[in-house]
Formats: sequence, C-alpha cells, structure tokens
Amino acid sequence: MELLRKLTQNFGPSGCETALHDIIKAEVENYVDEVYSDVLGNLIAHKKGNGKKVMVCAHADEIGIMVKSIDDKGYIHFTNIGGLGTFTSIYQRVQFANGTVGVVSYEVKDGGAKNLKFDDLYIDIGASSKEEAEKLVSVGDQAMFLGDFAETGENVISKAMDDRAGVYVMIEALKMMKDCPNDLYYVFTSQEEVGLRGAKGAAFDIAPEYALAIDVTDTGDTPGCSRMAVKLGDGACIKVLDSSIICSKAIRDLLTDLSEEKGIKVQYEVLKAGGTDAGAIFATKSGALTGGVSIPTRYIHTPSEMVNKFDLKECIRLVAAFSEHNMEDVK
Amino acid sequence: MGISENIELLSNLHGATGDEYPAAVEVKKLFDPLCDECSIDKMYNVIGIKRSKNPQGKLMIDAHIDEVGLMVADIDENGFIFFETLGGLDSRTLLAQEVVIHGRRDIPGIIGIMPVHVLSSEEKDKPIPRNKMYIDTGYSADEIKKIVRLSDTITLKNKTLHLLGGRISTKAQDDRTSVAVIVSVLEQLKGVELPFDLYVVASTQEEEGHGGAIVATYDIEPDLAIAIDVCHGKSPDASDGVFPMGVGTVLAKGPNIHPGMLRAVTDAMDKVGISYSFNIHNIRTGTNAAITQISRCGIPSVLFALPLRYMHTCIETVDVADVQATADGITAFLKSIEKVGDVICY
Amino acid sequence: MLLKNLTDLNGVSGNEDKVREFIKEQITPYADEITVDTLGNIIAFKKGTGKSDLRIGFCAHMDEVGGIVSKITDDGFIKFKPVGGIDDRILLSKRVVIGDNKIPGVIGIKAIHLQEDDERKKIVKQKSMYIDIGAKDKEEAETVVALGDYIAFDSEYMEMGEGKIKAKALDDRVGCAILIEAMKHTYENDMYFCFSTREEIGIRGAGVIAYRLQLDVAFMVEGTIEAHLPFVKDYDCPTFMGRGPAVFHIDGGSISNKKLINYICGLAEENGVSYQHRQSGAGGNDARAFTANGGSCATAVVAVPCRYIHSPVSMIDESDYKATAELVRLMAENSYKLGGIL
Repeated sequence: MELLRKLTQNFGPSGCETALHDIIKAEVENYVDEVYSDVLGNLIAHKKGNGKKVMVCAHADEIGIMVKSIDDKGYIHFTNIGGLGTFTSIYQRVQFANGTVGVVSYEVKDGGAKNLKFDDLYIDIGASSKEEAEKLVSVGDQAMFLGDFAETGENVISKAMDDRAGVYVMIEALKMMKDCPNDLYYVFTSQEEVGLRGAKGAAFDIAPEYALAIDVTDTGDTPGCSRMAVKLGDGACIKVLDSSIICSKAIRDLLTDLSEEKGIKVQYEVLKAGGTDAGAIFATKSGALTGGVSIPTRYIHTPSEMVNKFDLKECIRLVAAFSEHNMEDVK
Repeated sequence: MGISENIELLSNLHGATGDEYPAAVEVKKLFDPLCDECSIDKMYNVIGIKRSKNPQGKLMIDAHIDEVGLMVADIDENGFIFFETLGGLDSRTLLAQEVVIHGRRDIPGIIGIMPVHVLSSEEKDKPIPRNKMYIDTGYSADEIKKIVRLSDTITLKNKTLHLLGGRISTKAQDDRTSVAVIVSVLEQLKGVELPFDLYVVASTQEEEGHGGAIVATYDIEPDLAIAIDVCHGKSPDASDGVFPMGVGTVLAKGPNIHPGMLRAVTDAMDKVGISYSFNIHNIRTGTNAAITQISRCGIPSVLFALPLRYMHTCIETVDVADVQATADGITAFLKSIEKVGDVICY
Repeated sequence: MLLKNLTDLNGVSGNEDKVREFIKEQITPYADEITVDTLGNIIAFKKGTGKSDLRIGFCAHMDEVGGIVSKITDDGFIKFKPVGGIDDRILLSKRVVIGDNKIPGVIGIKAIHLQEDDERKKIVKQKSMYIDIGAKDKEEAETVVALGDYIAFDSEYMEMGEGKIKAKALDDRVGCAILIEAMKHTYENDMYFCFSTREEIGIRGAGVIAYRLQLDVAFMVEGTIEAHLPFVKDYDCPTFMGRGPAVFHIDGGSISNKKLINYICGLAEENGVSYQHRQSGAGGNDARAFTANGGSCATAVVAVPCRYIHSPVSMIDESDYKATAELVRLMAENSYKLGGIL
C-alpha cells in the first residue's frame, strides 16, 4: 500500500502529470525496454514484443482547480479542472505545487449553499492582500484537493484514487507479468479528466490494435445511491459501456474467459455515465478492439475516494493476464 | 427482392448499437452477390466493393446498421431486469413495450408499469423515469440468471405493418432502410462500369458516437462519400424540421456538405427528373456525413435522408416511394460521374 | 387453446360480437338454454341434476379496454377516444387495429430529437394523440376507417418465462375461459353462466342480467390488479402472481358477502387449492350491478391476478388460471349447500 499512498498523495492535476513521472518511472523501468514521455504529458513504458500492438493505459492526472484571478484582499478565484461539484468543494483544502495550502469557501447568496457556481467560490490561502497572495500563487497555477491516505479494514481511502489506483494496478501488473508475446505499451495518460486528451494523442502515435483502459467506476452499494450492479469488494469490473464507448465484445469475452481460467473474481460495469480513455482510443485511426477494467470506487471526484484491497488485487491479476495473453487469436 | 421486402427483412434483424454482428452477417449476404468483394471488419462494419476496370478513385456510400436498444444493467432479487439505453430513446414510449432480450437465447420481455391504483395522484401525471423502469420476463431471479447476464443487449420487439399507400411501419428503419437503398443502388448498377471503385459500407455504432463509420472511413480513405440516413417525417405533433412523406428524398445542405459535390448530385437528379427537397443544417449533421467530411485529409461528403416518422421507436414509418426515390437519385448521380475530379471542384 | 383464442379476438366494450359468437359456439353443447339480450350479454342456463333451492349464477365480462375513432383529420390521421380506463402513458408507440377489417395503425409521437426539454418531462395526454394508418389524406383514410370504428391493441397471446402468459384482454377473457370450462361439468343445482358486455365503461351490461335473473347468489370471475413489482411495497400489492385465485373482500362497487367468502375459502382449503385475499379496495366489477339490480343478491368475486392490466401486455401465471378454474368448479359443484349456509 505504500506505493499507492505515494501515488495518490502526489501532486498531479490535469496538465501537471509530469510531477508523477519520476515515481512511475522508478517503479517500471526494470520491467520494460524503454520509458519515455511525450509532449502531451503521457508517460509511455514500452515492453517490446513481436506480437500484436497492445496499449494498456490509466490516467495519471487528477481533478483540481486553476487560479483565474486574485482579488485585492488576497482571495483566490478559480475554475474547476475536471468534473467537480461545488457542493463537494466547499470547506475542502487545496494545495498548490509549491506547497501552499488554502481552503475553499463561498460567498453567501440567496438560497444558501444550494445552486452555487464556481464563480461564487473562492480560496483563502491566508493572505491579507493581493501582493501577499501573489508571492505564493499566480494566475494559471493549479492545485489539488487534499485528502489523506487512510486504511480502514480492507478498504483504502484517499484523494486521487481516480485514477492513481489504476496507475498502481498497471505498475503491479507489470511486475507480476511473466512472458509477454505482445508488443506492449503501458501508457500513463494525461488530461483524462478534461476530455480524454492524452490517451487520444497516445493512441494516434502508437496505433494499437488492442487496448485496455484501467479506471475507477461507481458502485451501487451505498445507502440511497443510484442503482448499479457493482459492489465494493466484489472483484474487478469488466467494463461493458460508459458514455464514451461500448466496449468491444471480443475484449469483454476475453476478460471473462481469463477471469474464469485464473479464478479472478469479476463483476460487470454497465452504466452510461462518465467517460474513460477507452472512448478516446477505440475509434482512432483504424480503430482498436478496446475494453476496460475498472476499480469499484465510492465517492469518486471527492477527496475521500474509497477502494478495496481485494478489488485492487483482482484488477492487477486481470490486467496482467490480459497483457500476457497472445492477442493473435482475439478477433 | 423489392425494396419493401428488403426493408422488412432488415428491420427484423437484431443489432443494437455495439452488438451488430448477427445483423452484419445477414447484411453481408445481401451485399455479396452484388459486390466483387465483401467483408466484415473488427467493428462489425460490412464493407462491399464493386471494382472498376480503370478506377480514378474511391466513392463510399454509408448507411448504419445499428439500431437503438437497451442493455441489461442489473437483475433484482425477483428477476426483474433493469437496463441502460443504447442510443436516444424517449422513455415515455417504453412503457408496456414488448422487447426481446438477446441472452444465451432470445427471450421475450415486457417493460412493466405499476398499476395506477398504487400510485399517488402526483405520480400518475408524470412520466416514469427511466431508472424506475424494468423488464419482466416471467422468470425468477435464479432462472433468468441462467439465460441472461449483464451486458446482454435488448431490442424492441418487431412487427412490420404495411400501412396504406405503401407506407411501412417497423423498427430499426433508422438506418437499415438506408441499407435497403444501398442494395437497390447496387442492383441498378449491375453490369454498369463506373470510373471509380464503389465501396458500400453498412456501418456500426452510429447511435453511440459513430465508431463504425470513423474507422471504416479511415481505412477506406475514399475520395467521395455519400451518407444515407433518416430525417423527420411530418406528423400532427411536429411542424418544424420535418419533411412531408411520399414526395421524394431529402438532401442536406450547409457547412457539413461539399457544395460542388451537392451540385453534381442535384444536376444528375434534375437531368433524370427525380425530385428532392433540402434540409438546411447550420452546423454538422447528426449523421455519418459529419464523420466522413473530416476523416484524414477531409472527404467531400453529401447526405441523402429518408423522411421517417416516430424515430427511435418500434413504429418507425417511411413511405416506400421516398426510399425508392433515394435509391434512384444516388444511382443517377453515380452514373453521371465521368471524372471523379470534376465532382469535387468548388 | 381456449385462452389464446379468446384473447386474440377483439371485443372492445360495445363491440363484443366476435367474442360473443365464439363463446356461444363453445358453450352450446353444454347449455340447456342460451339467451342473448339487447345489450349483447350471453345468459346460459344449465339445468341441475337435483333440486335447486337458490338461483345461482356466475358472471365474467367479455369486453376489453380499447378505443373508438372520434375524428379523421384532413391529413389522414385518426383521432380517438379511450374506451375503458387506460393509463395514457402506455399508449405511445403502440400498434393497434381499427374496425372489423383490422386496419393496422400506430400511435405516433414525434421523435425525441424534436422535443424540447420540458416536453420530455410531461406526459402526453391521450387527447393529443393520433393514430397513423399511412393515409395521405382524409379521403384515403375514409376508404378504410369510419367514425365510431372500434380500436383494439395489436398484441398476440404468448407464453413466456416460467408458466406465464402474456396477452391483451386477459381482463376478463380469463374469466370467460374459466366459465366455459366450468360449463363442461354437471352440477346438482341449476346454474346461470353469464358473459356480460360493457363492463369496462362503467359496468353497463351486467345490470340488465341482474334485473332479468334476480339471482340469490352471484359469483364474479375476474382478472384483477397485480403489483408485486419493483418499488411497490408488499402491503401495497393488491394480489400476488403465483399464489392462486384472489378472493375479494371489497372493491369500489361492492362488499362481498361474508358467508360466501367463508364458503369459497373453506372449499379452497378443503381441496388444497392455494388462494389469497385481495389486499385492496380499488377497482370495480360486475358485482356492483348484481347488488344494485338483483334484489337481495349475495355476491362474491374471485379473480386471477393479472399484471399490467388494461394494457396490451397483461400477464398472468398459468397456475393461477388453473387454480381459479378449479376453485370455480368447486364453487359450482358445492353450490347446492349454499341454501343452508346463507
């Protein structure tokens, strides 16, 4: 769990993913032939092979905020980076790359805290004037939400499980993998939270024939939540669809077969909400047979995202099994 | 077979978005005898090629074979199936709707509704939200789980009605009736030598992001593209953006459409006396013409549309005369092309 | 397949002819006398083998919900009025047949793409709906459809799931089927088997039967609301599919005679027929007419639980149908005892 702690707690809002590259690189470089980054901020770990070109990805970026302006009294006005709710932002702490910490609050409007817009919110970094604030923070600076790493029984809570848990799964899968007949690209993508942008560019450059995206997904097991068949602790999710993709049947079937073969516990994710990198890859160039493995996660896009250790383990085994599978027979 | 028979045959296939393979196999059978080559690609696109002896380029005609449908998302403790939608369905048309669930075998189901007797007066006057709808198969949870699993697709139960005046009401005419148009075009071109290779594409996943057409267009890399899709037929509850039924095909016009190619199309149709009307799109169309236009380095594209009533329901209705006119219009255009380069001049 | 034959026939209230003809043909061998009255009700008399203390009858209704053509628009669309209680919300995109020639039509609705956001949040009222028969104008429509033509749902009988039956008009062809089956047996007491009309538009037919027969005891055999469905609490379910015939205590138009309820439940228990008590006072049926027009007529109602009632896709469990038929037969067979009981 130490690696997961390091990954989740690290700074990396969309566009600032390079802050994570050293950590990831150190973990994976002994298991692949080359590691390089591209201009979009993707980190690509290439394990060469003579077989089919396969791309596996998880996004390194996290949701956050960006400074729009700083007022005379030193309060910071900001915009959201990624799908963020005003409701979940209030009274949270944010931290900038230089370590500056602030708290999010809001201007009182008719109707109280209901129907707030980001324009009504501000960050207080304790500065008493614009000048003082500008010593620490500039327009365009990004910050992440703070959310400590905590283990609670079989579950783990932290900020940025979306999608550092996916990054973690990929790193561990690489370590677990033995022989790999495929030409394998493990891509730690950038800018997923702002529209699947890193993965699109990576897929264009790599032009894989097969792809798998690892990301988090909602669960349907908390009081009064929307109906969904996924439960925390019930195993790895095979993605069937989301709002960005209907996953390739061939990949869904392959993942199911692999799970049966290896005794990996899986569940199926059918919810047309949210998009993932899979949606950016499948119809790029000549298209790739694309699927997804998802980590059941409660409270997504809050500083308290919760995942389960058993689920993580099953995801790692499934992703490793997928990567090791000779894709020649998958059509 | 005539166009009506093909419409009926095609509408009876099942192929909800993302699950088009069974439909693709049948469509390939229609294309095979009329093409020199025909194959199904990894997206389940059916791609037929009619070769030219001296090809100056490639022309692609696209119609999509996926249909709106549902997907099994959850099964509750009493065996009721909860679902996700594939494509834009008006949930108000789903109540008391018969469906077919494509599980390990096809089984019938009904989208249930609570009797009004157990509803509050407030609930009675509101549409039932989609997340409160469920499918009743008459099976218990244990039994249904042996037949159906999450991710299985569901299509609306079909029955083709032949209405007055050659009008046909049946499901999935968006856009399989356009596939019937392609078949008619190919039949009319039997023995005709064209100056280009003709690619006919029955594409997939149009209703959820156009994935099939994106890949097919990239792979084929055509010089010219024709998309065939549906537009809205006039009905008593709709007056804007609708087209009369039975008076011919509808051509899209606007920034999504190549003006030179459109002029060549209308010239060809005028010459043989086929009537058409224009549908003005100020932005991209919601069809595969929007995909073909910006594929690779850009491809001159036009869009033919069939007026169709009650889109995305099990009672989609067209006038066969419009379908025939569309096929005749496309055929006239294809026959009129002498030099591919001439078509794409502004 | 008696039930299939019955449900595939169209017999919207006021237009039960096809159903009546079929039932008459079915029961002629088993009836001593058949009367069709001015409202189209069938009254079949079956002579008992013994002495009859009481005038006893069974009643099921032949009619079903549907619609009637009220206007043909200039552009050839059919406007209609509902016949019987139909939830407006189930009508959109359904297939129908119009008139005796079964002209096919569809209840249209403009595409989702053409709707404003606020339109999607409202239900479409039946008044603004129309049927498309493909006609290009009024003249063409009038060649096949006339004002006053009856409209029925286009839905076929189908067996599905574990012993379930889906069809339109199960309310109350299932009752008709049970009575036809019951007539094939012989009973000690004289018995009237009645098939009423126009139940769905306010229990119009049964009243004149009641007036004519002046029965002492009248049993209704119905299809009734079932709601053992997601989002419905068990205590809100009027009946449960698969638990046998539902015995009524009360409905919108009648209170069942307590002694008859005990008689029916007693028979069920003695003979091992599973049954259930109907947990609702909603709805009405022909019993109302018998209590109102039949002097001192005692009534009771047994019914087959019917899911999605008054829709083209109503559903019953075949085991409930069979159990109800068995219970009805027992009720008729033992009815000679009713003199002592009442």
